[in-house]
Amino acid sequence: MQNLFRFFTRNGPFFAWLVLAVLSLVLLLQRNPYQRSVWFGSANRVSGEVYAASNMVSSYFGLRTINEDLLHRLGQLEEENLLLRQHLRNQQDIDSVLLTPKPYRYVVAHVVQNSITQAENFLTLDKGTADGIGVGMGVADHNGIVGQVAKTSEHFSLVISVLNPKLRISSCLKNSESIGSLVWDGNSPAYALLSDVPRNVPFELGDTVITTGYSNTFPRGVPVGRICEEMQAEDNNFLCFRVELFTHFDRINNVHVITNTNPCPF
Amino acid sequence: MSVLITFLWIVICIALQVLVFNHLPLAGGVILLYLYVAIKMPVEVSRPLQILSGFLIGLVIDIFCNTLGLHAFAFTTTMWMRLPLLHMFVLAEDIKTGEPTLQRIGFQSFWRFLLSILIVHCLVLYLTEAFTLFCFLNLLLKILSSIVMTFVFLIVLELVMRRKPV
Repeated sequence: MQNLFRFFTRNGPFFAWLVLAVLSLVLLLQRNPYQRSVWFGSANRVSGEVYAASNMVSSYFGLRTINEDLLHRLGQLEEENLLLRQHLRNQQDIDSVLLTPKPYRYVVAHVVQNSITQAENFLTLDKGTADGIGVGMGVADHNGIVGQVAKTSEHFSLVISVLNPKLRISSCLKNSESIGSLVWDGNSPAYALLSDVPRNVPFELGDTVITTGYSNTFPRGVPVGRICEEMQAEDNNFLCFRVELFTHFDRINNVHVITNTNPCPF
Repeated sequence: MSVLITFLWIVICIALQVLVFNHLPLAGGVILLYLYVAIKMPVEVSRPLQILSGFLIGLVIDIFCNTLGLHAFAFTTTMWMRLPLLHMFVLAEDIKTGEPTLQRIGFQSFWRFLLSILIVHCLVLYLTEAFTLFCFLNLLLKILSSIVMTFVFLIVLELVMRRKPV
């Protein structure tokens, strides 16, 4: 007994390391945003508050570029709006169309934490269940898609970024109906891969990629990026493209969470 | 009092790491400021306590980075290795108490000690991170860039801090 005790005290540092290393490895292997236990919710709340405070300062950086982007996007939407109104006016009573309940609601949120250098990236938003945000909702900014809500607390939510190989988003080329799957390959934060596109789809480099709307996450037509290169696919039955993402993940500031008011129950 | 000041230093290190340095990547690597704690922790602190503090600091960084367990594992291992590494370059009799500063152990021993700590930490950190995703060249670049940037930064920091009387 005494020998055993002496053995432990003499090798104290080693056992301290062993216990803590095993503990951290267990944490590491269990880390999955879907199953994080409740007591880390409170810890994330603390870090959320700290990030929100630091974000109050850093959100002023780069306002000029964001402003330009927004004005650009506003112009596009204005043109589209005018065109649609014109078409509608020819068709039917415009007011009744505009007053029908909207299928999607956009909740504006601020990004308080964002990473682009990890192997799996996440964002934290300053809106949570109290603002109507739920797990599985899509997140986009004015340029394009950003990710999907993975976990929520009352005032914060964790978003799986598009820059995370675990997130696959159903996308298609703007000019065709054929769907593919958008996934990040873990290299540059400016690019992702669009795979599983059928071979017979006509395409040109520079074609725009949009979401398909085949899930409850994103409506059809949210911009994703543009094709910049055809890649060698794993098998020759499908096409694979390198897609230049519209979203600038290094300077995301404000995003909107897309709430589906009428989700498909299946 | 000095315990309180040390604690404040550690908090500042962690805050700067998660709020500033983690957002300034170059070739995938970042400056790992919190390794300054592994350099400067007084040698007379008992080793289990050093290892435990490594674990706790790593865990706090993990909570901010959404990488639960990753930094904790790497920094625990680094803190476990730090005294054996230090004694590779400085005799145990020469440094019985206090912090290993550049002035006390000399530039030769200091940069070797710093580099060895950096190599151990970066290898453990990025290899552990990579076992979910591998792309060897990127990984190597990331490790090298982290080591070089942190090395330069911490040497400069140590030179600046040297002028202050403690």
